[in-house]
Order: sequence, then structure tokens, then C-alpha cells
Amino acid sequence: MQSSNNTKIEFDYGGKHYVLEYTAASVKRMERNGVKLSKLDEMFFSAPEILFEGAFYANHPNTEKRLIREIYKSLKKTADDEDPEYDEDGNEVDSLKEILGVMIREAVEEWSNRSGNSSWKVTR
Amino acid sequence: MEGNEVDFFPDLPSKEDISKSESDTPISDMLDKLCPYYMMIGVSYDEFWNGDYTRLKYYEECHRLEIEKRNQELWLQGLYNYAALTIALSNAFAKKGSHPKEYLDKPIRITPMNEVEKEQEKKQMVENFRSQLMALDKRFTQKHSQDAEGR
Repeated sequence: MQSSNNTKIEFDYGGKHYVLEYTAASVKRMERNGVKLSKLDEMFFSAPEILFEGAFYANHPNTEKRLIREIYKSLKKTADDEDPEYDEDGNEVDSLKEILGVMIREAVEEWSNRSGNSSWKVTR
Repeated sequence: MEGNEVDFFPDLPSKEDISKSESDTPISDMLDKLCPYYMMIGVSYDEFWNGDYTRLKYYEECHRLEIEKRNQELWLQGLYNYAALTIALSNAFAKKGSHPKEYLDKPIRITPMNEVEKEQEKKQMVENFRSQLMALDKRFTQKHSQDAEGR
């Protein structure tokens, strides 16, 4: 059996420690705000910031959108500069977007596995 | 009855139900249906909605073990009832003067014996066998001496 730890993003920004993760409540809030998790692939290309914002709901629900966007740009730049990755076609991979994808897929798949829908997966 | 499986999972949406769902919030709908089930097996409301979802599998495994344990207890209860009924009927319909059968003098052991207990059981078996041999020898000696006196 695997260890009990969901995937998280942890960092310090502006003197504050942030832990970003998805919970059932935050996913529900995202859907209520109009995020279509069943169409994750479309969302990834159009608005990955929305997924990033959703990851704040669990532990930092009152963070201003302006600050979230600022952090997103900063983290994205750091990730791209420090450890650039490239796909098979030689295009640079957005590693922050990738890890957000891993986090949301992991959460949704875990719940769907629990409800007996083991073959139902969110793809992108 | 052996091998029958009972589905203890509540009526949850299937893969098809979710993919065909016209709801704008299919994941939320699924979570709303999962929440009461997990609360039933011991997950708190707060932990389900705000906790680490990877812990849910441990609650499920715990629930499965509890069901198995309960099933074992019920099976054992049935065995005791069967033994009691069998003995009662046997005594009720026994021939007059026959020695009445008694209910088990101690519970049926369901845990494995440790090394000390295994050793003790072996010694007890050897002791019982020796006693039986001695009794047999005594009876043989008595019969032999009686026969010798009778000649």
C-alpha cells in the first residue's frame, strides 16, 4: 500500500510559507466557480492560473487574486529558469503547469477509484 | 455460503453516469455522494472535505477488516449455537441411563498457540499417552494374575 501523502507545492513568498494542495472542499469550490474539471485539457491551455488559484483554497483561502497571479508568474519563471525541461518535440515544458496537473489528476482519480470508477481518469 | 460476496458500498455514480452527467459540477456531485459513506465508516466531515484524500484508502481497508471480523464472530456464534443444539437434542433423545453429553467446557480457541503453549501441549499428549499405557499395563497384569490364580 502506498504512503499517505497527497502531492503538494510548498514555497516561501514575501516572508510567508505557502502549502498548495487540493482537497474535496477546494475542488468543490473550483467547480462552483465555474471550473470544468471534466474538461481539464481545455483548461490547461486556456487558464492554468485558475488551477493554481484553486490550490490556494485549502490552506490560504483569503489570498488576493492579484497576489496569486503575482506568485504564479514568479514561480513559473523560477521553475523555467532553474530547471527547464523539454518535450519530445523540443518545446519547453511548463513544469509548474505539469505539477498542477499531477495534483488535480491525483485527487480526482483517488476519489473516482474510491467510488469504484477505477477506469475513469481525467486526461489532458 | 462460502465465497459469497456482499457489496457494502452505497449506490454511487458509475463511470458512465459521471461522463454522461449533464451537471456542471460532476466531481462535486460525486463527492457529495461519497461523503455520507465515508462518514459512516468513521471519517469525520471535516477530514473528508478538508483532509488528505490519500488517507481514505486506510479507512476503507479498516472498514473491510471490521466487516471480516464481524463475519468471523457471527460464524463462531453459529458454531456455538450448533454445538449447544446438537448436545441438547442428543441428550433429549438419548437412551435411558446413558451418560449425558456436556457442552464445551471451554471456548474454542481461535488464536494460534505460541511456542511455550505448543511445547506444553506436546508434553500433555505424551503424559496422556503414558497414563493410558500404564492403565493398560495394570489391567493386563491384573487379568494375568487372576488367570494364574484360577488355574
